[in-house]
Amino acid sequence: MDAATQLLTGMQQGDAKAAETLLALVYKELRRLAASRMAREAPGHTLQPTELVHEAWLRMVGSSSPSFQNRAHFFSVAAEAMRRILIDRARRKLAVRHGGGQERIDFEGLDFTDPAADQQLLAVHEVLDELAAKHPLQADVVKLRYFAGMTNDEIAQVLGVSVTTVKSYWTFARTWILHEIKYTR
Amino acid sequence: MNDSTDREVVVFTEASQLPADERVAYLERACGGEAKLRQRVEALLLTYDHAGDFLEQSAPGGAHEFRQAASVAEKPGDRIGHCKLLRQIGEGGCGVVYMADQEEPVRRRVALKIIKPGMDTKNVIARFEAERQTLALMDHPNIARIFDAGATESGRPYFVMQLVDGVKITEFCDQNSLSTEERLNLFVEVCQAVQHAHQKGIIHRDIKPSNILVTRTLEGRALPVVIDFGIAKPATNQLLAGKTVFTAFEMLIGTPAYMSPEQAELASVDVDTRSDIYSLGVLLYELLTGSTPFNTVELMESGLDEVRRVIREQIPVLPSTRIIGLLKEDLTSIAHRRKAEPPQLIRAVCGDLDWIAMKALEKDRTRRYETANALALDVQRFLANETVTARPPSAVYRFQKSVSRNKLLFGGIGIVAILLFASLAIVTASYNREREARKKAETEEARSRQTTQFLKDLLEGVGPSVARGQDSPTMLKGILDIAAQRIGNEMTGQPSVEAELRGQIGRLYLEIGNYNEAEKMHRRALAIYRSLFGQDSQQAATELNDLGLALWRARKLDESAAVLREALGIRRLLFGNVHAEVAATLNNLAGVFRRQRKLAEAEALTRESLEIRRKLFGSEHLDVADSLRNLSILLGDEGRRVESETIAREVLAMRRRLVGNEHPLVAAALVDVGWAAGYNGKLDEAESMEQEALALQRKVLGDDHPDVAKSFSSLGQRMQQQGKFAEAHGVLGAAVSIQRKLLGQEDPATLDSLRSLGSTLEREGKLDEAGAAFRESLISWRKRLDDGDPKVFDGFENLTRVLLAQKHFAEVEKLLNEALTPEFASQPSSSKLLVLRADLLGRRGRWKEAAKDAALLIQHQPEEHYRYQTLIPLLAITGDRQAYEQLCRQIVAVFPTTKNRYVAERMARNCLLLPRSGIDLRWTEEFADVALAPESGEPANPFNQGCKALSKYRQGRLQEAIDWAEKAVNSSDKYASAQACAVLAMAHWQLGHESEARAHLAKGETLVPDFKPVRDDEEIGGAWVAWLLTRVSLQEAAALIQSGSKGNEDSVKPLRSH
Repeated sequence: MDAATQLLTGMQQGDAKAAETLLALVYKELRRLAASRMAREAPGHTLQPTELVHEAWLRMVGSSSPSFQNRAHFFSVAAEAMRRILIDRARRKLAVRHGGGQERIDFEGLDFTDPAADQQLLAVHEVLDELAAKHPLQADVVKLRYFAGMTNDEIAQVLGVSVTTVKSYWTFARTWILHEIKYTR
Repeated sequence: MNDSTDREVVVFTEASQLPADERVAYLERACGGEAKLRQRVEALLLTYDHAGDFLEQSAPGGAHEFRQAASVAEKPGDRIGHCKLLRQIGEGGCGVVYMADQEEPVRRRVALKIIKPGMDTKNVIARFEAERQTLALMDHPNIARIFDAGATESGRPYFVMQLVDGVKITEFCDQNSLSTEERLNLFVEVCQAVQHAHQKGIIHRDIKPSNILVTRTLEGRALPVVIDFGIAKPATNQLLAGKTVFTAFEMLIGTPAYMSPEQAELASVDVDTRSDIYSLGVLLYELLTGSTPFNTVELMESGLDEVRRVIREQIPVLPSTRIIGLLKEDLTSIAHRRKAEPPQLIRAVCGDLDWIAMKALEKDRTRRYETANALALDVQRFLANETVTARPPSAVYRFQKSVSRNKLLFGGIGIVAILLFASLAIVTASYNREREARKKAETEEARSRQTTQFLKDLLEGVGPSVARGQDSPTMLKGILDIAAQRIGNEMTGQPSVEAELRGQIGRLYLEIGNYNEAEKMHRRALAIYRSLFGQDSQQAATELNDLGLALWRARKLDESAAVLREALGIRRLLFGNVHAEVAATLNNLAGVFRRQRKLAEAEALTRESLEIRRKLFGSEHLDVADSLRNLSILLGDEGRRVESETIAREVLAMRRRLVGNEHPLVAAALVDVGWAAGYNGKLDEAESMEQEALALQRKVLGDDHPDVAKSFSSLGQRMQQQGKFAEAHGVLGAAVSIQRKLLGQEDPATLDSLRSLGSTLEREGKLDEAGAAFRESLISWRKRLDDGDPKVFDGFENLTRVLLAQKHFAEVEKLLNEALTPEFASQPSSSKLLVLRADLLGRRGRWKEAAKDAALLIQHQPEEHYRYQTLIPLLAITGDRQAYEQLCRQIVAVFPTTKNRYVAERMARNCLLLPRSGIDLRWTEEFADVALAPESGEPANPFNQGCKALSKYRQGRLQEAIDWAEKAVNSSDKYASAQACAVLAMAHWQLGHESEARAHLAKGETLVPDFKPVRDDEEIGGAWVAWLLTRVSLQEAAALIQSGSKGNEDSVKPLRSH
């Protein structure tokens, strides 16, 4: 049994540390995958988080432990890892634009639509933990959909609920987040 | 996971799937009296309706890998050229600024700016060089001077400039508590500096407080210096044009508050000197009010696009409005920092300074000041008490200025009297178009001369005290009061002149919002005309018509309708059916009918008036527009929203064509379009229309005008609707204070604004203040109307809600008991108040008393299905079996069939709540099926599933009951889940599954435990009906299990009651 599968089994037995270790593992794997993919792709290519997450699943667990429970746990962990990666990157990018740090910007290559999206990403990130505390299932849907880029069908599979439920959770969650960002912060 | 938040999910999800017009009813049912839950869900629904495609795109995953640049930065102690670096004092996107000591040619302390290491691309160097050239071009005491320039060994360029040892202008002003006047003087200097740059062809493009430092001259005078022309560009040099986007963009990330609408466009490279004027406007705004027109930090939370949209589209609130809207402590501290008390500060800013700032802040740059100098001059004019250009000159306004400038000269001098007369005549003329025709007649001419002479005499007598420093309506009122008084004393021998003057003065009173004075004038004039020309003269009709208007405005609707009918009758008699005056009266009468909610009659009269006017004047005419406007409003009242909005836009366009953009009629039309757009869900557009209307009205009418107050009020309500409670608070506060002053404490309009203010405060969570506002409004309404009136109920409901949220139950009870005398409670008009009291009693667990009110309610409103839902569990819990069975029979009689899922679920559950209700179980099963409505495609609701389970259980189909209850038992709604638990416990028990039965009962008891409010602040909560229904079922299950019998129909013991 490989490390990831072991950790997943641990998680199912309620081992909190297993979840944390797996998160670190998946985080590392996703970054490694992203870096190697970026090296291969043409400049300007946009990485699809969902591709990365699926690839990580296949590489780390997929064939050895195809149980439904494992799959759900893995994807939830991967979505959280993806969220951290994206947040780190958005923070770095914005910091660079503010003129901080030693990194430099290639003016010609700057994409003007990015910062707004990055701001939004950070704003969503800020309130997501609060949502998770109040409505954990709805927050899971946000992580899987917004950060890991999954479709409703995939999410329904991962969480083991109906697509209708995913949709209604999503509607609630995005409304909740927007309201939180707009009016109460 | 906690229960209250999950109810939020369930209720929101249900409601979001309903059409908008069904939501209110649903929320009422679903939330009961849980005000918090309801508010929360309402807020979410509002957001939901405007969420657009928020978050629909997944997070940006595009990766830019940034190359690391080698670090070769300078540090203090290093030498560059003739300078020794002391410490870093600033840092921009590509440059760093150091404080340095220059050793040659002069020893002095300077600022040295150098490109950051690694940033020395061609573009940056070009920009840097441009800044150096730019500074070299300028020579002005208020602009930092350049001394030297060069390049380091590695080729990075730098330049040396005057070190400005100062602080940000805003900080300087606050630290030194500069008065508004002192601030304006500094501001004028800033404008002059910017003007100098503009003359040299240089646009600064990043004017903000941190780029304007104030230092002290050797003589100790404050000297503002404009620095950082880092993104300035020569107005003609197109070399850097391609980079404009980038710099604007940096600004957006950095300090967008000062960015002009054209800069916010981003795509546009066409930024000229007028962009700096805008930024100066923002600075002026901040110096006056302590904040920028838009809170960009807050806006940033919703993303840069929102910031850009607001800068480009939203009209900021007037500076004085911003100040009025401040919290009391903030207002006091801001005023004190300007060496003033709050009222003084508001007075100083309100008016000219408002207009100056707003003109600089125009979205359309062609409407801003042409030059920085023009802006400076207008501020100087204000300081010298001269007429500013920012407001279009009106006679009254100019007069006001000349009086306050010439206080010493004023007094019985002819020219002033002429000015006064002119101001009065202008106002008079615009309301008396039809009179001009009459004045041509010879007989009228003599009278007119007499009138004129009288007015002249009169106005010469108006002393300086009336005019001095008072705003125009107050001044006019002073003049009118004196005129009215003198007419009584001096016109006794000339009744027709007296009547005409009284009529005119009445119309002027109406115009400035003094309805009672207007009424008196018209009544007197009417009496005179009737004694001169008989009952049915043309003059009498005019006075009746105008009297009707005054009464209408004073909300004496019945009297108004009677008077207008009389006027209409006389006019038809004298002029026939197709006549302008007939049309006018028809319109007025329609307006009164509308207020009386007689919409069909109102619409018929309006259409008749419209047709008359089209016949007389053609399709393009102000009066035709008036009729169309009325029609639009009526259609809105009747719920025909789209038609209403289309016509409102037609009216706006027509009025603009006829009178131009700056006219109260256009403002009124803007309000209408805003209202109609808002009605159709376009809230942002509605608000910007209302903002525009308000700015226009204040410009044209002044602040003390009922229409302005009304616009404040509706704008505040709009802001509240959009969830902008802090802004709404300020705006509504302004409305209330103006209305109190003009209309009095107890005027309906004042009370409506007060009510809106109350609900804004409530939404802000300021419950004490909200309660005070609601209480005041309720007391005033009760003086005016009886307790069955919707307005009064509204007041009770609001106050009750706030008090309940604060758990002041005793006070609510006292309040309601006082109104609900036994006599009043026995009348249907008391129903709404009874609902409030039944709810209170239910929350407090006082079942018998609650049942009494609930029973009265069914008597009053037998069709209202929710009433049964309230009474049924109350009868069950108090053990009143006979009344329960009787009520079940009544339910079947009143609701033999239904298609409404909610009604079906409720009625079925009501009749199933206790065993053997005597109702045919096929009827309840049928209703339970309607509730499930599988064909509707909506997700099954756990309450409906639970109801079906109960129905099966009552039929003895235990396994089916279990199957249905299993579907509902894991619901996140605790009541649905616990109700299912009760059915599961009973069905399993009957099947002999003892341990399952006990487990389900225990789970149900844990979810919804028994509870009896004892202390004064304890309650079951707004969901007490659901709680009670659940408790009744759980008690039945408990009794069954306790009795130990199985499969025995008679197992149910009498229920325990509190």
